[in-house]
Amino acid sequence: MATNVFANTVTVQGTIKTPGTYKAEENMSIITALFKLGGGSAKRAFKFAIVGGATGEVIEEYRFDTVVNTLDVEEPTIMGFDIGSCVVNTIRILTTYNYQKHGNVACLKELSEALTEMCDVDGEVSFEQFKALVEKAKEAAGEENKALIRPIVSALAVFPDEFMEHCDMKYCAGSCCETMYRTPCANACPADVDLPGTFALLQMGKPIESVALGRNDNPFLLTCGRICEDLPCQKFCLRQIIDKPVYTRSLHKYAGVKAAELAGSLDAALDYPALRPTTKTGKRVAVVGAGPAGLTCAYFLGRYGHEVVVYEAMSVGGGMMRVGIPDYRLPVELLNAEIDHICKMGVEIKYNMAMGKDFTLQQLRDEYDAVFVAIGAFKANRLNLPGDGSADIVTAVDFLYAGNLKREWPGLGKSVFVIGGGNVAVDCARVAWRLGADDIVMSCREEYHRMPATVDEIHHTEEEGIKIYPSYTPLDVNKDGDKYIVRIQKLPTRPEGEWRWDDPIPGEILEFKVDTVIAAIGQYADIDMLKEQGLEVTPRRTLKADFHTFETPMEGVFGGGDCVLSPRTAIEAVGTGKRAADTIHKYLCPGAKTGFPSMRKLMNNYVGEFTMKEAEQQLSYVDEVADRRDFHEAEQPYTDEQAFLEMKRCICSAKTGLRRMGE
Amino acid sequence: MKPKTILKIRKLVQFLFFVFFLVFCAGAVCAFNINETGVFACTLGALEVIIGSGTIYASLLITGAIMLVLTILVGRVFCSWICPFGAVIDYLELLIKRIHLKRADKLKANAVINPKTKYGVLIGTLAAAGIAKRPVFCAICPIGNTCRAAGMQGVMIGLETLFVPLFAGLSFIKERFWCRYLCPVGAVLALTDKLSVLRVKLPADTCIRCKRCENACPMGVNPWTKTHKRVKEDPAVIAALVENGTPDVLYRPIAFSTLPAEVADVVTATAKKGCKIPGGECIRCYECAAACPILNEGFTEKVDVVEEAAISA
Repeated sequence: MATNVFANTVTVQGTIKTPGTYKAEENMSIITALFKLGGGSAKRAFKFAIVGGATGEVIEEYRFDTVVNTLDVEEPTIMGFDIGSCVVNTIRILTTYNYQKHGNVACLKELSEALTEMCDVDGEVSFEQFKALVEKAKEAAGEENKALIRPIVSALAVFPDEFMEHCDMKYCAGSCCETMYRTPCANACPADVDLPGTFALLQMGKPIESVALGRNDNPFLLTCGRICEDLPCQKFCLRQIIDKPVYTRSLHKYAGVKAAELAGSLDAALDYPALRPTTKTGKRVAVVGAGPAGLTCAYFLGRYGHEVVVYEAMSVGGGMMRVGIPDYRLPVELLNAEIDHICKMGVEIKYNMAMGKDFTLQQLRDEYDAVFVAIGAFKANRLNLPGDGSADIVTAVDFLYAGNLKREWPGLGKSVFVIGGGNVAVDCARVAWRLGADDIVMSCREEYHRMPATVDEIHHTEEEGIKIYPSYTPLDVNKDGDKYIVRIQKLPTRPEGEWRWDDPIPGEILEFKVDTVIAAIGQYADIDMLKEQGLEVTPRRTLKADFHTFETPMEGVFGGGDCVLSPRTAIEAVGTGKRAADTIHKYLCPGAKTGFPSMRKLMNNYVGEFTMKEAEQQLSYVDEVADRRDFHEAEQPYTDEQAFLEMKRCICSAKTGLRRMGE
Repeated sequence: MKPKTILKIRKLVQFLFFVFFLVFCAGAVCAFNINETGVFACTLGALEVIIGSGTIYASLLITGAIMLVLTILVGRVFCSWICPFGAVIDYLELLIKRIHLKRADKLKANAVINPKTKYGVLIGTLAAAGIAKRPVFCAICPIGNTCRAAGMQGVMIGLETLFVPLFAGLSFIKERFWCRYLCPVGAVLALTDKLSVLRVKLPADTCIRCKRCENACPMGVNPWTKTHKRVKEDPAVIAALVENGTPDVLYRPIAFSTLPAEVADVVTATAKKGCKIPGGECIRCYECAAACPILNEGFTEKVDVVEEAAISA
C-alpha cells in the first residue's frame, strides 16, 4: 500500500458548512472529517462521499464510519455530497475532468461520452453496454491507471440502481440531469404530480381544473394537500435560488377549498373532467388493503379499464390516512370524497374482509388475474421495558385507531406519557390532549433538532402545552396503584453525523407519574400473516418486492405501500401504487401502453406569472390554541391574497417544452 | 430598456414594414419579373440575377449589400423585424397558439428535418438561376410574393400568391418552419450573421433556470442550452468545479452568490464569452429575453442583501 496520504492534512470539500484544509486526526473516519471538521451538511442529509479527490473512491452514507487511512487513494481530499446530488452526473464530471487532465488513457474518452449520453434523455447507452464498457476500461487501465477509473468502478458498485435508472428508465433521482425531467419538483414527487401546472391553472383562476390536473397523477391530491410531510418537491424547488421554496402543500389545500366553493360541492369538484374508463379489458384485479397505495393502484387500474375489487380489513377506507392521521389534520369528509371518486372508476371496496381470516391469497389468485397486496404496516413495535407496568403500555396504532374512529380511550386519565419522537408520537400526544388529557409528556432518544417529526408539528405540539423531553431514553415503567411511574434517563448529546447512542448519563433520571403510557416507536407489516399466505418477507420485516416494478416472487402478485417500503409517507405509498398499476397493466395486457395523457391542454399555452417578492407568510394560519380542543381542522387555508403571492413565486409554473410528461 | 419593451417595438416595426411593403409600396420593392432585371432586389435576388445573367449590375450590388451590412451590424434582424412573410407567419402563429395544436418536440433542434437543409435550398436556388439563366426561385419566393400580393402583379397573375399560404401553412408542423428549415434568403443571412457584432445576451449569474427562453424561441435555438449549458461544460469551469470539490454544484438550485469564490470567478469569466446566443439561427426576435423574468423583473437576492448589511454594520 502507498504511504498514508492522510498523515498530515485533510481537505474537506463539498456541500458542507465549513470547507477547507484541516490538520488530519489519527484514525479519522469520514464522519469526523465531514461533521467535526466540515461542520456537517449545509442543507440536507448526506448521500455519499468521495474520498481522494477526482480519482477517489465513492463511499455510501451508511459506511461513513470507514477510517480514511484504510483506503488506498492518492489525494487527502474528502468531498461530501447531499441527497440533492446525482451520482451519475458527479461521476460524469469527474471522468470528463480526468480525461481533460490525463488524456485518453483507460478508455476515459469512451466512458466520458457514455456518461454524457446517460445524463441526456436522448442518449442510447444501455446499462449492459455501460457495464461492459467499464469492464473494458478496467482491463485497459491495468494497475498503473487504476486510480483514474476508480470513481466509476466504486460508484457502479455502490449505486448500481441509479446507473440503471439513468440508462434504461431515463430517471434522475437527484434532479440534476436537466433534460430528463420537466421540473425538479414533479421529478422529486413520488406520484409525479405536475405541481407547476396546478399553480399555473390556479393563477388563471381555474381551481377546479387545477385539482383535476393534479388528480390525474395523484388521486389523493387534496388529502396530500393536508398531510404531505417532509415534502420532496420543496427540497428540490428552484425557488431556493432566490429565497425559500414554494409552500406547495398549502397551495393544493387552497385549490381544493376554492374548487369546492366554485363547483358547489367537493364531490362535483373532484368529478370535473368526469373521467371514466373507456374500454373494458375484461381482466379482474384484487387489491388487498384500502390505503393510499391500494386505492391509488385501484384508481389507475380502474382507469385502464380493469375490474378492481378492493378488500379492506377495517370498516373504513383510507388505511393509515384514516386511522393514523387525526381528523384535525385531515377531515374525514375530504378523504371520503376522494375515496368515493376512486370508486367511480369501476372500483368496488369490500369492507371488513381481512386476508387470512375471511379469505386467503390463494382464493384471490384463483378468482382474479392479478393481486396487489398493500396491507400497510399496522403492527406496532412493542417496547419491552423492565417493570411490572411494561405490559400495559399502549401502542400508538391501537390508541390512534380508537382515538380517531371512536373518539375515546377508556382510562386515559389526565396525564399521559408518550414515548417516541416521530410524527406518530406527536399525533398520539395531540389526540390525547383533544381527548381530555392535560398533562402530556413526550420523550424521545433523538436530540431536539434531530427529532423525526416535522418542525411544524413539533411547533404545534408545543403550542398545545405538550412537554417534550428530547435525548431521554425510557428506563422502566412500574405500576403504582392505578397510575404508572415512568423513569427516563438522559442520553449524552451525540456528535453530528453519529447515529449510535452512548450509554445514558448516570444519575440524570426523571420520574413521571401518569395515567397512561403510549409507545410510538415504529410499525411493521403483519409478516406472519404474509408468510402464512406463502409470500416472501425480507429481514427488514417487509414484503419482498422489486422496488421498480413491485413484483413479488409469486407470479401475478404485486406488493406496494408501507408493507414493502417499511413505514413512509402517504405520497410515497401513492407513488408505489401508481407505478405498480402500470406494471400490473403491462402484466395483464402485454404490449399495452401505460400512462395517461396529461391534462396540460387545459392551460392553453399560458405562461405563468412570476414575482420576485418574498412570501410574507409561509405557513397557513392556525386557530388559537384554546379553540383547537376538538377534532375540527386546525390549519386554515390561505387567503386569496396570500395564495396568489405564493403561486406566483413558482419559477417553473407553466413551463412547457416538456419531455417526460407529454404535452 | 426592458426586453418586453423591445419586443413590443419589434412587433410594431414588423407591422409597419408589413403595411409599407404590402400597401404603401404594393409590389414596388420586390418588383421581380422573370424576364427583366429589377432595380431593387434582396441579397438572394441580386445573386440570382448576377449568376443568371452573368452581368454585374451596380444597382443590384448596392441594394443586395444593404441587407448584408445590416446583418453584420445588428444581426439577422431582417427575418423578424422587416420580412413581410415573417409577419404573416407570426400572425398565423397567434391563431395556431389559440387552437393548441400538438406540434413536434420543441426542444429538439432538428425534430423535423435538419436546419442545415436551407443551405441546400440556397445552393439549389443559385444553381437553378445559373441553369435557367433567370431568377427562378423568385417566382415561388413567399417573401417576394407577399410584397407583390397587393400590387399589380399579384392581382394580375394571382397564382403566384398561392405560395404564401402554402409555405406559411408549414407552421402547422413546427413554429416558423419556413424560416427554420427552408428559406434560402435566411440561409444567406444566417451565414452573414455568424460575423455579426451584436448578439442577444442572457443573464448568466442571475439565471433561475426557469427555461422560459427555451420555450419561447420560435427558431429552436435553445437559448438556455446554447448559453448556460455551454458555460457549465466548459473545460475551465469543470476543472474549477472539481478542484474545488463541488463537481455538480451548478446543477443544483443554488444562488450564484453562494457559489465558492474560485468557481464563481471562472464561471463569470466563461459566461462573458459564453452567454451570448451564437449567431446564425438567432433572428433577434427578443422572444427569449422578453420571456425571461429576471431581465424584466430584475434580480434581488434576499440572502445577499442581508449578508451585505451585516458586513457594513
